[in-house]
Amino acid sequence: MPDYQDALLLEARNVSKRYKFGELDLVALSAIDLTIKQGEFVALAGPSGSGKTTLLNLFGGIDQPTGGSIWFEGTDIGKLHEHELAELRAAKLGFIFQTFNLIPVLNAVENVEYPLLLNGLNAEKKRQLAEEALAKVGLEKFYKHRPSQMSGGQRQRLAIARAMVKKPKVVLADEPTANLDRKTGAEILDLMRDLNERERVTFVVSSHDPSVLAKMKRVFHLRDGREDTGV
Amino acid sequence: MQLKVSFRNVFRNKRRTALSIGMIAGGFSAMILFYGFVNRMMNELQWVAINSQYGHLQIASEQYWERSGETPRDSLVKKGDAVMKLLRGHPEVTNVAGRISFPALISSGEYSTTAMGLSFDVEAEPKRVQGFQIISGSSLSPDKPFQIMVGHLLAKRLRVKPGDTINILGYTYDNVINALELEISGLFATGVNEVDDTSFAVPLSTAQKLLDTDQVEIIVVGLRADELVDSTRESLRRELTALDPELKVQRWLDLAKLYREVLDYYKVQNRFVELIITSLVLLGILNVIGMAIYERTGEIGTIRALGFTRAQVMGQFLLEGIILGVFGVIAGIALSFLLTWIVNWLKIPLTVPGASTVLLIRVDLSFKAYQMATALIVVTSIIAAAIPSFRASKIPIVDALKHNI
Repeated sequence: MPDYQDALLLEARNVSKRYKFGELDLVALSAIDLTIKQGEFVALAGPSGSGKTTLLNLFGGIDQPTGGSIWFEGTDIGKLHEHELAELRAAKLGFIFQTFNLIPVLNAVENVEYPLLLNGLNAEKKRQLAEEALAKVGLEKFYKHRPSQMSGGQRQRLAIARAMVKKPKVVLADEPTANLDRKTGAEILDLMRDLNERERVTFVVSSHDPSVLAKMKRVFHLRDGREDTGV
Repeated sequence: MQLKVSFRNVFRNKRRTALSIGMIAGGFSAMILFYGFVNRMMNELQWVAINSQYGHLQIASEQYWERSGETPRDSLVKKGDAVMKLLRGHPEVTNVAGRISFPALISSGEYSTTAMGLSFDVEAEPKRVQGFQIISGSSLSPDKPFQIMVGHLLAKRLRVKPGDTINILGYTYDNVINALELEISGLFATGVNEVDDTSFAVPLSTAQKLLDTDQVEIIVVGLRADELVDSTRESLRRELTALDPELKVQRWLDLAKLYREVLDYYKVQNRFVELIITSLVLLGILNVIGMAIYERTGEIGTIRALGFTRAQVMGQFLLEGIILGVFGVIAGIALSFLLTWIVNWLKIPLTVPGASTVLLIRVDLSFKAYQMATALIVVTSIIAAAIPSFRASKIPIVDALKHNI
């Protein structure tokens, strides 16, 4: 029995992405086909410059492919208007960044509450959800701490709580352990895997770290913007 | 929450925020001080125009106003006593007095020149008397009808001083030469050199004696309050038409050409000062918000990735601009009180070109000035925040995320 549900969540169909730098035409992705089902814990693996982050950005609707299409729950997100994409990100996507990208002027619980501004909940409900999310990542004692008062591992836990608080369908994590030491990175990955199993949230994680990839349930390899089949 | 975020962002870099708030407060208080100075000048001019020159209303025949009479007598108010009785019975009228002005030859014996005689009811218009700043001797007195006040520059030309006697020679309304010997009570300064060089003042009864008439040219009307001018004028116009259809009522503002010219001049100057100050504030805030946005480009990418729209990102920076503006205005209010107190306390002299007396620079604060300055500064702050935040909201998310947060 597969450890993920059969519902198709994300799909890249013959996706390519090119960047123009003056006369130079740089291929970031070429002919990528990838399907991700609901509940998967999948890695985009490859060396630096292989196109992991680009593919992750395309899945997140924060960048557009130059060829092919990205589908989310049966919808070609390339055909969505900007505000519809923003709604999609607000409701169904969570992001975790390598550099945490927390709002420095907000404390931990406020950082987690921040995305909930977009879903019209009352203040009390927002606070309750934020506290629950912080508890799930083990930061219940750090509600009032600002990011600058927290360690790297705590910051990434906070970023995970922020990504999880709106109960997204998928969390896209770009090199989430790259700025952490090995032990803390392993803890973060264990936390994400735990959330994947308990909350049934799909995780798509980009990484080139073998210790990270070893913990993933499925790995999609990239090299020079193409799928690396090992051939 | 959004307000909280914006508020904390504003105070993220305290030194920079203090600088921009200081800049806004400086611009705001400069505007308030300028408005207050102009306000004071206009208030003074209005007071002088009403109390020392025109009264609130003036009533005279159409021939007088239009200078269309065939003889000087045509310019006189024909039913003066009845008009004055009607005016004194009006509930808003506090003061009624007649005036005549006339050309005359004025002679000290050794020196003679032509001059314009101003005459008024010394008892009924005490403030008119005060309007002549006495620089030597004393002003006219109701119990001394055969006295004269002479403009100080005219007195200089005639080589006369208070206590000297002087002769005035004029034509009666019947075209007969008449003369009076008068004692100089004092020398006056009106603040306008042309007037001080060519004018003298005598009691109305003295002028009537010289001109051999018991009538007046103008009836000056004082009211309970400046705000009653228009309504009282309308009611008087109806009542006076029944009495003498040739009479016309003029407001002080219609007569005070200098006041209107100065007001127009200050209106233009106000716009110019507003333009300079708002430009400075605009550039200051543009710089501050622009720097803040540059530093927070990564943060913009993050919140856009979280699902915030361009408009919401712009809204946050606009809110920060408004917060800056509001704090700047609050600081500006405090600063304007302090600066006003200092300016008024310093009693800085101001010499107006063409004026023979020195004024003091004073600032009269007004609620309207605060409303105007607040509106201007807040709108400027919003515009100054809108420009860079609009640019920031257009940065592609992936590009914004490349900036470290």
